[in-house]
Amino acid sequence: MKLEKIRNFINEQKILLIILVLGVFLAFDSDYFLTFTNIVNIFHTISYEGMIVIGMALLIIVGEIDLSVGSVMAFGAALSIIFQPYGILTAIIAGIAGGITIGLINGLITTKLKLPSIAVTLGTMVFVSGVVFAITKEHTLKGANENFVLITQTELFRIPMPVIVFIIMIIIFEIILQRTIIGRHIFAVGGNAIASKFFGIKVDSVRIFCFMITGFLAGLAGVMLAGKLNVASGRIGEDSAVFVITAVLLGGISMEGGEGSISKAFQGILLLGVINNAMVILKISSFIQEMIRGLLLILIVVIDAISVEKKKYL
Amino acid sequence: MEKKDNKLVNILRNQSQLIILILLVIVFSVTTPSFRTTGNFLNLLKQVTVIGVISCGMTLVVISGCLDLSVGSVFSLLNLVSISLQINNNFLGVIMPLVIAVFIGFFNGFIVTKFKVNSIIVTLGSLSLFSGLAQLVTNGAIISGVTGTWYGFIGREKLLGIPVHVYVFFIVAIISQVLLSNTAFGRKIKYVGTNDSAAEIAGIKSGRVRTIAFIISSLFVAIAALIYSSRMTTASPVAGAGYEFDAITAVVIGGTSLAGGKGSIFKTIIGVLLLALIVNILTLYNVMYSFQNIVKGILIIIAIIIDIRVRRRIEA
Repeated sequence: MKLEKIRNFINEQKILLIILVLGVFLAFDSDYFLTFTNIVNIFHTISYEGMIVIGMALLIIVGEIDLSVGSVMAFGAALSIIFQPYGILTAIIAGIAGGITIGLINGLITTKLKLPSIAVTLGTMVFVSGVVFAITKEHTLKGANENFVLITQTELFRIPMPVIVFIIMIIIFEIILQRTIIGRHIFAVGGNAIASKFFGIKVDSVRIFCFMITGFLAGLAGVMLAGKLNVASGRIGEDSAVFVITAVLLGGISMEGGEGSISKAFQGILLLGVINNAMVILKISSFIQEMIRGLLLILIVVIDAISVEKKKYL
Repeated sequence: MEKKDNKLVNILRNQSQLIILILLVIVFSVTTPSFRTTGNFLNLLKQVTVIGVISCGMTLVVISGCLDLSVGSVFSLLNLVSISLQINNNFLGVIMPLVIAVFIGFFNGFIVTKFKVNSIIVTLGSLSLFSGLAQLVTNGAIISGVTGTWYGFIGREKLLGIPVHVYVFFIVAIISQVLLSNTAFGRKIKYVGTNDSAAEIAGIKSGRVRTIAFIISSLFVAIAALIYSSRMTTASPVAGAGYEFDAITAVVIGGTSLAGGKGSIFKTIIGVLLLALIVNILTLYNVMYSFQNIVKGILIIIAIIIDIRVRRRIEA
């Protein structure tokens, strides 16, 4: 009985346990790893794409996917750089509004024309990336407003702003997912869209909502990133889709849809962040890092597929 | 009389891409003097060989019901392998990319079919994997090979006034079309792409068929990389970046369905030419490079919409 409990606990919290084991190993290897600066650093690094992970988790739970998130992040960054002369607030709103718009377009095309989202967002990914290159005139644009960088450089209790925004977003969307009607609808649609329709759930609206939230978060991440780098370029976010999808799946959310939570997705991105941090501390070349991230994604989908297969026979 | 009308309607419906291509050529020949030169047409043909060869392989993978996003980074990797070996040994520089391509195709195909996972996600992972590997080979640097040997034959020589690699493209296209429409394997690809569980029941090993499609696709990527290496005699770790989208765009706007089961190499070639034509026109009118991506993105979405519409009408 007790053994069963322990086994269940390990199964439920395996990601956190892996992070812990990895952390202990790294703490022995490097004195720097467990310092406050480094831990904040890990969170700071993951906070940008981490916001997108929240949206991607919602989308995967509802049974859709968005490959355009990297381009949308670059789009948000570019808009917030371009709109800086009109004030910081305008710049922030422009970046976020741009993200929401692309999310709305993705959602409308996918649901109203009944197309597979993976193909649609492949198209919008290329399209939006082209738009970003066009509005930045294929250059790296610098921000005009010196105060704009304050949105990321401001710290609260030595914790940078993006981390705080990231944590707030996690809490908000976990509550939306677990405690509200729209959250229940997301699970229902992801579990069985046809049955949901019979129960009177507006399936299309739920899906469009998830696409818009993903767009919103990708735009927000772009604005934050523009604040950090103070530049915009079409090169931003090229690997983001791989990174974000890996994080969601790594957290244990299945591609099958219908189940998962934001805290799971958070564990996934945290594990990726720790792995990345470890690779930097161990001075592994960035090329090998890219390879490892690719391998990790393949490994994770394979494990996901095997466990889904297993469940079918239980 | 009525029969004739039906035939015409059928042609218009089935070969709409070809008709659009012909119309575009006519329109631009009339409006743009720099377009209708022989030099420009030859240029157009020269530009499409690399992406054309890749698209032929992609067509087979798409018809089998999968998608291969790793072709761009595999292209870069094989480009680097070929040039770095060619410096010492031309023969190895040609053979090794082909050998490695077989392994890469098997790797992608095996993972996708053995574990029944989404090919887009898997090849998105192998895109990163091989792109990292490509950069690792030369530490991110661009390398140059040795010019003036037979290695440059495919890319630089001409036969009867037409570059050799254009012939290579035609040969690859003919082989793929024959493979697709005249062999048992071609029929199996279509069955598997249409309904893989039904194909399994009928005794077709769908996993093996898809894996072979992936291997052929990788082999074609190797041939494309050899054409490029032979022509440029340089290699860059980002040489093939974005080729996966060009190939998929060409396949899709040619009219091969992303849902699998249907399509032809002929359609893909029309798609390749259509894409090249649009890019060519944008270049001639000095439109910024980035607008090409905007146009490609719109084209992908329009092609998917048309594809789904047509399929629904057939089903209804």
